[in-house]
Amino acid sequence: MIVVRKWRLYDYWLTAVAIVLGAVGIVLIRSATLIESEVSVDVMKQTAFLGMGVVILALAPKVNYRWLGSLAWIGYGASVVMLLAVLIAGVSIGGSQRWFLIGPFSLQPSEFAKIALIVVLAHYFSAGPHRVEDIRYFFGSIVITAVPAFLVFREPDLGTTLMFLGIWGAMVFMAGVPFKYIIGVTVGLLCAVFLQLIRIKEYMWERITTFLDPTADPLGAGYNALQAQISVGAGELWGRGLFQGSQTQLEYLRVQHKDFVFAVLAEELGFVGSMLVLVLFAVLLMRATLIATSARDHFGQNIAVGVTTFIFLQTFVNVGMIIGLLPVTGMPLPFLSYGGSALLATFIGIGLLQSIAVHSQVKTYAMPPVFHVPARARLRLLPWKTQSAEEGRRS
Amino acid sequence: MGGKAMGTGRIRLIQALALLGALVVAGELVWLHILESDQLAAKAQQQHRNDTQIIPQRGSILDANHTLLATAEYLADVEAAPNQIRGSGRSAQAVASELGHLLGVPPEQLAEHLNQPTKTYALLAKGVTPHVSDSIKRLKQSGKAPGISLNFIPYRTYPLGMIGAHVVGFYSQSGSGQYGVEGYYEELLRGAPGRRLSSSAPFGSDAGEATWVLETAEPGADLILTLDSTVQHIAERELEAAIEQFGASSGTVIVMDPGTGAIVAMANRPTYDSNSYQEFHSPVQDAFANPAISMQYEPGSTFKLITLAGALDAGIITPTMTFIDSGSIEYGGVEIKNWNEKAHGESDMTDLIAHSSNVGAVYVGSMMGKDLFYEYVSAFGFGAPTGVDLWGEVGGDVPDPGSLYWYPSSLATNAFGQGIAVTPLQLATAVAAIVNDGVLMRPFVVQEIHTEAGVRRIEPTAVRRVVRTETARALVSMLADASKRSESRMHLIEGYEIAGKTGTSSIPLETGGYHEDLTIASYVGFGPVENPRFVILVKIDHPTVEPWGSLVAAPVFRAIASELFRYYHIPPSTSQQTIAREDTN
Repeated sequence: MIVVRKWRLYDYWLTAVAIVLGAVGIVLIRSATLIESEVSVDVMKQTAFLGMGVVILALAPKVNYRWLGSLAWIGYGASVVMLLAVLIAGVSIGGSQRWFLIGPFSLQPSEFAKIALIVVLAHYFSAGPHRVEDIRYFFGSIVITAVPAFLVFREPDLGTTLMFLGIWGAMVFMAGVPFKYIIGVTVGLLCAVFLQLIRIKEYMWERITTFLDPTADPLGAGYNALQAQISVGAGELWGRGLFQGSQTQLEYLRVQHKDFVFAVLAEELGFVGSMLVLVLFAVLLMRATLIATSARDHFGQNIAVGVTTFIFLQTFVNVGMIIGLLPVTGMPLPFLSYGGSALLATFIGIGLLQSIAVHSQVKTYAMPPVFHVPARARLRLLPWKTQSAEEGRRS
Repeated sequence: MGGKAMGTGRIRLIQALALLGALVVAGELVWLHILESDQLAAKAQQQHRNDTQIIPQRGSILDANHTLLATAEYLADVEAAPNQIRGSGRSAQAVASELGHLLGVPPEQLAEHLNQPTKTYALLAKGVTPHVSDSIKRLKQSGKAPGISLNFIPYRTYPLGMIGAHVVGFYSQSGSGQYGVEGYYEELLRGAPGRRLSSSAPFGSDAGEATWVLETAEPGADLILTLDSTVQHIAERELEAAIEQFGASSGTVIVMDPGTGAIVAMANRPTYDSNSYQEFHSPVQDAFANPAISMQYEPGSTFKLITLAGALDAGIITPTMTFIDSGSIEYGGVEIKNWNEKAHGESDMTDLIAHSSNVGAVYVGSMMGKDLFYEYVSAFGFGAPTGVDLWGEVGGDVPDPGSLYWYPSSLATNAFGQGIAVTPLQLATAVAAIVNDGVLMRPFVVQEIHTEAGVRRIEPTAVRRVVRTETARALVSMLADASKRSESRMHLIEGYEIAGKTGTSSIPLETGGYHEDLTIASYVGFGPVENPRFVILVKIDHPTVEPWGSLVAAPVFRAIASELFRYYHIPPSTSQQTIAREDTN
C-alpha cells in the first residue's frame, strides 16, 4: 500500500524536466566537441553519468531521506576529508587543484561537498525554532560552512566557495534566524571581502575588471566574456542552427562544453532555444519550491531549500556570467555543463527532493514500531503524527 | 502540530528576489539576442578566420585488370607564415636550419624566405614525402617550427609512366586533367570541392586552431578502363621495335575488341611520361595530342575494304564477279595505275584484295557511283568523330561530292583510299564493324565508373548497322581466302587463321601532289577468323628502310596477334597453317 502511495506522490514533472535538461546538455556538448572526432568521448561520459542520474531518480522513493539525519555528520566529515585530500593529492588543471583522477574519470569532491553541506545544515537547523534564536547556535552554522568553504577557496575555486556561502545564507534565512544576526554577518562579510580585496589574487582582479568592461582588453582577460556575448548575439532569434554556430565550431570560446555551454545553446538555438531552456529551469525550480513548502518536517524542508537554492544560484550565476550580468567565476550550469561530478551531485539533489516529496507526506518511518501501542496513545507520544497518516495505516 | 509552516514572509521575499533575478536575465537575453544582435552577429562574422576550399581526392584510373594507371595521394606542401615566427621566441635562422635539414634545402635559402616579418605566406616545398611531413609534424608539436604549416593536397602519379600515356593523359600544373581520359573525364575525376572555416584564436601561445568543415569534399570517381596494360605493353614494344628497325618517324597501334568496341590497347610513338610531361619536346604542333584520334592520314589500300563492303552490300558486285585488270584505268580524265604497274588479267573480287588492285577498286567505285559510295563511307563513320571517350578527337576529311572542289576523279582515288583523310581509330572501328557482322560499335575506353554512390558500368553501344550480316561474313571469308592466295607465307602464325589488309599510302603535300618517297605503311587485320577476338591496326609513318605496308606493318600485326593468342588462351584453329598476309599493294 505504501508503495502505491510513494509513486503517487512522486514528482514526475521534476524528473522529466531534469532528464530533458540533461539530454539537451548532451546535444550541446556534442556540438561543442564536434570537430574533435567522429565520436566524442565527452559525450559518452556525460551520457553514462546521465544514465546514473536517471537510476538515482528511479531509486529515490525507496530511500527515506530521514535516514540521512544520522548520516549527516558522517557525510560532512567525509567531504571535509576529501577536500583536504584533494588539496594534498589532487591533480592540478589550469592552476587549480580540484580533481582526483580515477582511470578515465575525474572526481571533483567539491561538487559532492555541496550536497553534504546541505544535508548537515538541514540536520543542524531541524532541531526547532527555539535554538535558531541562540546566537551560539548561529555561529556554529558559520563554522560548519566555513571549513569546507575555506578548503575549496584554497584550491582555488572562488565560484564554489561563493556557492557554499549562498547555500548557507538561504538556509539560515529560511530556518528563521533573526534578521539582526543576518544583517550583522552581512556587514562582517563585506568587511572581510574588503580586506580580502587588498590581497586578492591577480586573476580574480582581472575577472572583476573584465566584468566591468569586457571590451577594454578583448584579447586578454575579457576574451571569454566578450566572445560569450558575441555568441549570444550571433544566435539572434532562431539561432544559427544546431552544429552550425561559427563561434562554437571554431572554438572562439574556451571550455565551451563546460562553463560556457549556455553560449553554445544561445548561438546555435537562438533566443527561442535559450528561453525554452530557462523556462525548463523555471518549471524545475517551481516544483522544487513546492516540495520545500509542502514538506512536513524541518529536516526535509531545509534540505529542499538547500537544493533549490543550489540549483537556482548556480543557474543564475552561470547564465548571468555568460550574458555579462556577473563576472566570470567558473561555475557550471546545472544539468547542461559537461562534468560527471557536477551532474551526479545535481541528480542526487533532485533525488533528495523526490524522497522528500514521497516520504515527508507519509509522516511515518518506513519500519513500523515493533511494540504495540494503541493508536490514541501513539498520537500523544508522537505529537507531530497526523490524522491522515493514521487513516493511511488503518486502511 | 505539524512541521513548521515556512515563514511566509521570508519565502515571499526569497521568491520575489528569484523572480527579479529571472526577469533581469530574461531582459538581458532580449537585449543581446534581439536588440543588440545585429551588431554582435556582425562581430561574429568579422572574427579572424580563414575560409578555404577542401581539395577533393582525384579519382584513380585503372586498367581492365585493375592495375593502377593514375593515382592521387595526399602529399604535403610546406608553407610558412613568416610574420608568426618573430613573436614565437625562435629565430628564423633556427627554424630554417631545422627545416633545411629535413627538406634538403640550404638553410640560408630558407632563412631568406622566413626572415620577412611582414609577409604572411611563403611556399617552402611542394609535395614532400610522408616521411618528411611526419618529421615536420613532430617539430611543430615540440614547438620548434612556429609559423610552419603543412597543406596536404592530392598529387597525381602515374605508376606505369609512359605505358598508355596518350590514353591516360596527364594532370597539368594548372590543376586540371589534360588529354586522354584525364581530359575527357575531368569533371568526374575532379570530384566536388568542400569548404572549411578555420580559426586561430588570437590568444598567444596556447592558441588553439580550430577547423570547421562546412561541406565535405566529394572525391572524384575512379575509372576502370577497357585498356589492358599487358596488351598495351606488347603493342608499345612491337611498335617501337618496328619504328627502329625501319627507320620510321612515328607510328600508332590500336587493339580493339570488335564485338564491343572496347579499346584494349592504343599505342603511339613518340610518346611521353605522364609524370613528367613537361620534359617532352616534339616538333609537332600539338605535342600531347593522341595521334590515334587526333591526327588524320590518307589510309590508302586498307580503305578498299570499305569500298568492297559497300558494293557487296548494295548488290553491285558479288564475290565471284570478275573484271579485267589491265594494270591501269582511266576515270574522270585521270589515269590510275596499280601500285606495281602490273596487269593481273581476269580477276575476281578476292583477287582484287589479294593483289590490292587499284584498277579493281576504281572499277568497283565507278560502278557504285558517287552517291552510294559516299553514303557507305559515312555509314562506316568516316568524316565524323567516332565519339570515343578520349580528349581531342577529330572527324577526318571526306570529300563532299556536292562541293566545288570535288572532281569525278575524286571518286576514283577515294575508292582506294587516297584523297580522303581518316583517323586510325576511325579505320579500326570501321573494320571492326565488318568483323562484327556489319554492326558499327562506338569505341570506348572507360568501362566502369566507381563513385561513392556506386558503380556505373558502361555498356557497349551499337551506333548503327552498316552492312547486312551476309555481306560482312562474305567479305571476311574473302579476306581470309585472299590471304591464302598470296604468294609469300612470311607472316603466317602456325595454327591460327588470321586475315587483314595492307596499306601503303602516299602522303599529300601542302603544295598539292604527293611526297615523292615518304609513305605511311599500315596494316589492319583481325583474328581468329572464325570468331574474331581482336582487330589490330598498325600504322608506321615514313619508314625509310622499306616503304611497304606488307613488309613494315604486317610483321608488327603478326607479332602482336601471336602474343594475344597466347595471352587470351585462344585454342588453335582446326584448319591447317594459314597465312597472315597477302603479299601485295
